[in-house]
Amino acid sequence: MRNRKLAEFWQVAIVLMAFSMVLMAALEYNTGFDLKIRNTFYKSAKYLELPAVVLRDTVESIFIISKGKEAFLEEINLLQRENIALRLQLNKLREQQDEAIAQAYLPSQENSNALRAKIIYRHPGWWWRYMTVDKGGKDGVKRGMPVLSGENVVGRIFLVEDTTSVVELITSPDLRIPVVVDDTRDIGVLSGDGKGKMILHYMPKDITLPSDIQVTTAFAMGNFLPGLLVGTIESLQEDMSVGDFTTYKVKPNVNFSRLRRVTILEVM
Amino acid sequence: MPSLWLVIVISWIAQDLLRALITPFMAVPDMYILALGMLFTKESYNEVLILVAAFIGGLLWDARWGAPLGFTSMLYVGCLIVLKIAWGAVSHAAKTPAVAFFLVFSVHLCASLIELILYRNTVLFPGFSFIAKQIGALIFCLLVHAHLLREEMD
Repeated sequence: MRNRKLAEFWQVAIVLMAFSMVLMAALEYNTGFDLKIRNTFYKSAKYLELPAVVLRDTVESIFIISKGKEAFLEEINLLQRENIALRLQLNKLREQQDEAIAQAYLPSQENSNALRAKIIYRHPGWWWRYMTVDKGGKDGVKRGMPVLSGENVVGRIFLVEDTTSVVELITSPDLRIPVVVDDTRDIGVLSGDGKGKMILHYMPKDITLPSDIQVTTAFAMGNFLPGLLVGTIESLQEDMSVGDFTTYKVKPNVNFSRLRRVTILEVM
Repeated sequence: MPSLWLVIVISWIAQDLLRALITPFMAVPDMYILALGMLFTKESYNEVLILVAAFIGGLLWDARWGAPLGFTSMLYVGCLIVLKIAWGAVSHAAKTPAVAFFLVFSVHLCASLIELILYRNTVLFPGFSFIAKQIGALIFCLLVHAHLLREEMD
């Protein structure tokens, strides 16, 4: 009985081994029939494996999210560095643009010389009153010379050192300039309010000036040339009216926040 | 004593699910042949039936996981033949669960090495995947061994 079982075992074992070899030899790997068998089996097995596949995908997606987060952070870092580099480049280009504009608007009067100067210091406490430029007495700068940005008035030279000068800005309450309103030809006096704007005094009360009218320097006063742009009328200030005259708030044409270079005008 | 068919079906499905779960990170232990091997050493099951189950299981495995049809079935049948010879050489007194555990695991190791030599060509450096597979097989054998010991004690 035992021997018969053993013989049966060996017979089956040899048959199965031989059959496996025949299968391997007869069915070429990845041929049409082979693939068909695999596909058919896979179609039925995939439902059986669904829980495992879902679990694997979930774990994989968690890893991917974690990896994705790292990649995002790296990209943000890279973009921030790129952003800084672009900002620096933009600032440089703006400076070049300002320079080009200033060159283009240099006064064409024959009786004047222009000197380009760079702003080197602005005291925070005197932000709207004074600024220091890198040209001084050695460069020919003298007290009272008008300082422009393009064709717009920035202020005038207030103090001259050997290599630097202090410019009194048109937004300073201490600086008073005679000006003329372009459209009406009314003459008044302009002074700064110390807060980035200017006040136009002595305007006739009977005519209300509309906003956005240009105000220019009135006539030669000291070293100022007439016709230089100063600012535009912004609004009427009725509370500061005195007698038959009223005052207007004027916005300077120069953007003092972005001002980096100025032109010092020497009037012959 | 567990039903032969139950063990066959459960072990095959368990191996398949594990493969689907951890592919392609590492190889899975051949739990199917380990389970059949352990049943084989019990001697209370029909050996011919186990042999046929090994063949069919191997064939299905090939069909599902891309080995040439007949390769795994031949490997599984071969494993059982080796096990039959080895187990037959052990004296009746020495046929304990521990010896069965040792033989079955050794057969699994040999089968894995043959697979590795023939299909992966990395026998010189088996790598993490191979080691993980053997560790998995060892754990599985230990669990079955513990189960068999408990059966004996009961």
